[in-house]
Amino acid sequence: MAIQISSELLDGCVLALLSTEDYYGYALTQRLQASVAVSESTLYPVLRRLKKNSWVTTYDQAFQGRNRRYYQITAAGQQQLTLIQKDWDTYQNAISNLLKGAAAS
Amino acid sequence: MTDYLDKFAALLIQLNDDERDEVLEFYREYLLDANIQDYDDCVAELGTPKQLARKILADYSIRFNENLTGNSTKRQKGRAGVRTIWLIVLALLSTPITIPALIVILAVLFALAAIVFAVAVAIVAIVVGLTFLSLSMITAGVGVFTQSLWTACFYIGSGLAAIGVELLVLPLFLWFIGLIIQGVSTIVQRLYHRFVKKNRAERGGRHHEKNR
Repeated sequence: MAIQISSELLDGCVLALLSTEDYYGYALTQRLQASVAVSESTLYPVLRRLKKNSWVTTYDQAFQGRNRRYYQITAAGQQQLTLIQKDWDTYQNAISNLLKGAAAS
Repeated sequence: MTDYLDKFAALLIQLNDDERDEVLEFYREYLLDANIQDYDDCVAELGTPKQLARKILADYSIRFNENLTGNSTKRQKGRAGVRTIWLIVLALLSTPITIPALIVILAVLFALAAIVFAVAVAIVAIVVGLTFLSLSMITAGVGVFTQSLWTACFYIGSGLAAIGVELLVLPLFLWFIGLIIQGVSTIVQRLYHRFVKKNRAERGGRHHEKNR
């Protein structure tokens, strides 16, 4: 897997995961790594950026005498996700066509 | 795990308390959830405390710097620029990059450092020289005051004029130095984006193979 995921796409992937359920940091990393190659330390900057843009919020939940911080997608985050999905569809089609050598119609 | 996080925390002094707590809490929770206790296992998972801290700090500082360019004074920009250069140099040194790339980066950084140093020395020399000249002119003027009033007036006047010129030009010098720092900061940021981004992809690739 030599293709690097861009930060916009990483935002989209995280938002997509959060649109199905709320995750805490470790579970989110594991889930993401199951699909794409990201290093264990990459996720914090992503989540910080998402939170700063108010696309996600956090809440704490007690777990075995300590806290787990869960990340939850916001309405603005949903909108952003739709936007990224649209962009991705366009981009994906264009690249697929190019890579397969199909004539642009 | 605690010793790992302590070391990590000690490297995050540039962040304010809230930011630092949030980063630390994130990774503490992460390591607990991953059930990682040993220091060495922490390093295997997240890299050494230094590598992790540099990654976090570089991420902060680059965006911090980009935010700054819009609305702030020259002086703040200069300071943020110096900080960015420093952090990115550290981040570059902590990442395993190919030797030729490293040599190129170091050569560029060395050349930049040499230029900045040369300009700084030249400016300091001009300022010191001019100050010295004007002070000695004033002294000479006072010395010949009793012999020739007009000569004395000439010397004292020239000295004061020189100091005046210096005070006028000084802000220009400072502005120039700020400009240089900004420029170097931009160059170093581009270097960082060019080499480290490429490198992260390679590392991600290797990771993936390991995980299979």
